[in-house]
Amino acid sequence: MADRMKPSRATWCGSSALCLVLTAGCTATPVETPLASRSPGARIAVAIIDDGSVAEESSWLDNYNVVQPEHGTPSDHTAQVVSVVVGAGLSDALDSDAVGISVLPVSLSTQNQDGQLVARLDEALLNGADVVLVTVGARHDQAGICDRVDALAADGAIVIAAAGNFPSLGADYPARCDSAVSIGALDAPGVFASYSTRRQVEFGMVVKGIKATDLSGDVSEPGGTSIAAAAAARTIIRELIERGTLMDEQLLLLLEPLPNHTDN
Amino acid sequence: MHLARSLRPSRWLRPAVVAGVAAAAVAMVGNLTPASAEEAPPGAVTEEQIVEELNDGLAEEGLEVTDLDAEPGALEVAVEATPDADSQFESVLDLGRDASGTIEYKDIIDGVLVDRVFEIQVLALDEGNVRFRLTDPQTGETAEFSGDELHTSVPVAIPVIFAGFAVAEILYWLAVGTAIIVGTVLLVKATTSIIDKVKADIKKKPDKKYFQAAIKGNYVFVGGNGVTSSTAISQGKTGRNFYTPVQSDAKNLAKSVGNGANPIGPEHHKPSKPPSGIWYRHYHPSNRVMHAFYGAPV
Repeated sequence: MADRMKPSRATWCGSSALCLVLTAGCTATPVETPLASRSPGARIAVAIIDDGSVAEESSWLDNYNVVQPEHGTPSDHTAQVVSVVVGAGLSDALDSDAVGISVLPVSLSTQNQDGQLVARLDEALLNGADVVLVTVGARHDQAGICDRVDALAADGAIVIAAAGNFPSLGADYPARCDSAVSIGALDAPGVFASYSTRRQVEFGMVVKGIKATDLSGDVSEPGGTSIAAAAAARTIIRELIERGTLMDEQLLLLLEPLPNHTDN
Repeated sequence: MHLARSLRPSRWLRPAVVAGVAAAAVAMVGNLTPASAEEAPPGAVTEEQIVEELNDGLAEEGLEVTDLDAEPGALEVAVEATPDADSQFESVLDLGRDASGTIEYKDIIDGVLVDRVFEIQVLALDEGNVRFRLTDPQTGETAEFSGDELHTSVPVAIPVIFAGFAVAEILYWLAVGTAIIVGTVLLVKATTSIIDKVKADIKKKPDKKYFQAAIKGNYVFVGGNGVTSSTAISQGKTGRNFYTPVQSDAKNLAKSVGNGANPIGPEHHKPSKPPSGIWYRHYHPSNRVMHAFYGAPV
């Protein structure tokens, strides 16, 4: 079987269900469908799916309306991911009037973890998320992960997923799903980080220099495709704040192209 | 930079496997009959087909099987990165009849080439349910993996953890169609070569002519050590299926499991749904509590 490749987002049609329908009638005039958009004045709803909820007392989360579900426990990893998304400690931190963040936790210490991920994707869809960031991954799609990602994309959400940190293997799910934007980690423009997954990855983000805050308030540069995906999400959210819409081709400008790699 | 493939140089790219896969591909495209099919019964599953199935799944991971050696209840699979994968991954999974064994593992971890052997105990092997434990004999570290686990996307530099994710891929695709575990016994799809090896085992130990069997989809899987007639009868009464090459032995087993009542059969069910598989002829005891398979695939 031929190696499965993700469709290129450089094409004008992108990957939304609406666009697929329009493709049948595509002739001379391309119809551009936004990858994501928001209503004027509306807050951008961001759902972050990770392994834990975030402690409310984290000072950098002040005013960011981070949902604290009754299930789940605080996680340093989640805190780091959220801190990168909001730009904690940066002068250009996201404006909490413009962005509402919900953390949807999955428990990595219980059974049916891929089922939990599917449930969280459903929750993001139900709550009308505009941007969904997934920084946990499954190795196989036995629970219908890609079906949910397709549904989110059809609903106008952009799903950004960490590709995973196994350079010898294919990307994690949902990064491997056609409708997700899969993000790998770069050490520098054009240079994959040694740990980053390379297959079925669409874009990269340079993670060197990206600082993240854990639950204790300690700041570090943890790296990883989670941090790369979080940085990509932040970039996309900022674009949505500024422009209100995001087209496929804008991703090419906003995110780092991948190193020359035959599997992309 | 590409290091020499040095884990098992003499075993990589066994010509017979490569030739078989190529012949199968030619047969699909050109409607020719591969040479090996002339010796195999119609519809028989061959080792080459198993390799092809495994590679269908592993291709998405940038991996491919370079060698497969299956025996009743034992399996050795060599996997390495495909030439286009820009990876130095190489691995040889060697599982014995009790589903334990070793995994030779070579890969770049955090920029460093790691070449190690880990101990493995497979706890469950069925599609949708893969669980195993890896132990690093050098450090004593143990990690358990489950097919439905998620992981946070942080870099991992602990060899036993890192290797575990690659092993999980290999086991997952084995579980899709090549091997299963029943209890603690590894059973592999009853290919023509497996049946030949069963016969060879029986030649050495003629009184242990019954091998544990299981049905998955349209296929029969065979494994474990050969057992005596009395063991097969007592285990057959609990519902365990068995395979034996000779028809009269299968009939006698079914009759004994049925406490002497006339057995039902011989039966042969055509595969009920695609992809087409193969059922072996078999008898049932009068209460149909088990299958006593025999002979060549039909």
